[in-house]
Amino acid sequence: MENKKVEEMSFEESYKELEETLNAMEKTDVTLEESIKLFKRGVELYKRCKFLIDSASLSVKEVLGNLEKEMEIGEDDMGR
Amino acid sequence: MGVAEITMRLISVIETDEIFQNVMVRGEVSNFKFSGPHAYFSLKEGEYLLNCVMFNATYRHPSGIKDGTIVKASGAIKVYPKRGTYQLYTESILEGKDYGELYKKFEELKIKLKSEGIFDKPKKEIPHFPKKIAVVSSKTSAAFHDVVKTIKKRYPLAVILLFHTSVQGKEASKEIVNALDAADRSSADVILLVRGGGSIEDLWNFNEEIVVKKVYAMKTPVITGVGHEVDTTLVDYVADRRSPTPTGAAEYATPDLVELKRNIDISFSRISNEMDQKIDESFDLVERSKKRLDFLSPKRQISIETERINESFSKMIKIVNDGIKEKRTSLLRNFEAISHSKIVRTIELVPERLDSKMETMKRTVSNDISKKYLSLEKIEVSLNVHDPLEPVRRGYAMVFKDERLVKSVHELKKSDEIKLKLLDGKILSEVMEIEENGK
Repeated sequence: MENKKVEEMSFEESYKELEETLNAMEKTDVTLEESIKLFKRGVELYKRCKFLIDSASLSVKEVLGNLEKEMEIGEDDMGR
Repeated sequence: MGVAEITMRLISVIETDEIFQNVMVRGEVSNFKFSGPHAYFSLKEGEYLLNCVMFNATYRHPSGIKDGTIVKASGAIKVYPKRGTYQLYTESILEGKDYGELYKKFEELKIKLKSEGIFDKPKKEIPHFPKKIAVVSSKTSAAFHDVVKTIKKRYPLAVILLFHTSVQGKEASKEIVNALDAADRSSADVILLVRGGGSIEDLWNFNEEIVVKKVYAMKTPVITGVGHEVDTTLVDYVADRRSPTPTGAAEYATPDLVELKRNIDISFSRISNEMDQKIDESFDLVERSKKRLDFLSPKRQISIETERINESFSKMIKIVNDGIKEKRTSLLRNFEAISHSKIVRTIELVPERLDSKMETMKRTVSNDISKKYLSLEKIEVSLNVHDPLEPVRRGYAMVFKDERLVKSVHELKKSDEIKLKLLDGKILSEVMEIEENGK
């Protein structure tokens, strides 16, 4: 899992690995070298999560048979 | 707070609320009775009940209203302080359809499906981070828009796939089943089956056996959000999760991004703290090692030894100095003592005494020498008298045999060689004849 490129990871993957990285860092028997490695990875994962959140814009598609048609949902349509 | 005060607070809350003061409530009539011109009854919906009163009802209420009728009653909700209750002060009643049959059907179907074990289906786990969320609903419905709005707010990372279907009318059940089927075959991680509120008739498709059994057979987790809080449909019993409203269903399907952001930030600060702590720990370790190293280094040993030597040297110097000081003091003391002792005086007298002794000795020795000298003169005279050469000087000869002086004739025999010594020389002779005196 550690080998997977961060920029290819989904939000779920990066979020989960961020948690795992934190757990790994919190273990008492981690060496300094490992800590640094984990920290670097953690920072990358954190950035990835942030990026995905900040750049997310909801995509709504209508599925018609085998076709997926992007739907335009305006703010006006959001009201009841 | 007293009873009066709490009641007044309730009144002020309820009677200033616009909705409570002008509301139309749908429900099934029960306990309908007259008391004088006024009608008293309850409106029921499932397990919920609302007390109602209609003043002067004799003239206002539709004639066909009896228990079990579904009606829409309009009026205002008010508190009745004397009884501590609230009720709908009804102004008008619209008679609804008679849904009695549908409720009966609902209950019968519920029992049937239950007996088939349909409702005992184990619930599937709803994914925490859905990538694709399928929504089975009408694309023009408020329910669908509520779902989109909620997901956009909570988790815009997801993709919504709409599987449009009509949700009302006799043909709708098949459409719903088809849409569910298509959604189940899609790559969606979770499916929302949603519809807005309505009467039991409006929601009836969600009680239909084919729809319920389709939801039962789904491979993808299904969350239902059909109607409003009070509405329960049979699909809710087989869904993996039921929500009272479409918005609620969308909330169940998605994590809250605000919360996620907070979690991520917390995780990050924890990671940073861990790192800081680790670095601090490592730094401390190195520092400790350095201290130990310094402590054990030869440099330090040398400095300790040097110090020790310096100390010893200082001690030595002090001891020596102290010794010298002491000796000097003691010497001074002794010197003073000596200066004042008799010895000094004695010593001072010595030369004088020696001089006198010398004089005495000189005198003694001189006397002695004089005496000896006199004595020697006497001895010389005496010696001269007894000198053996004296007779020779007077003309006598001395006879020697073998270098020995011969004093008697008996010491000689005839033919002995003898030596005659005179004053001026020696005569060597031979004994010719021996004549003893008197013979």
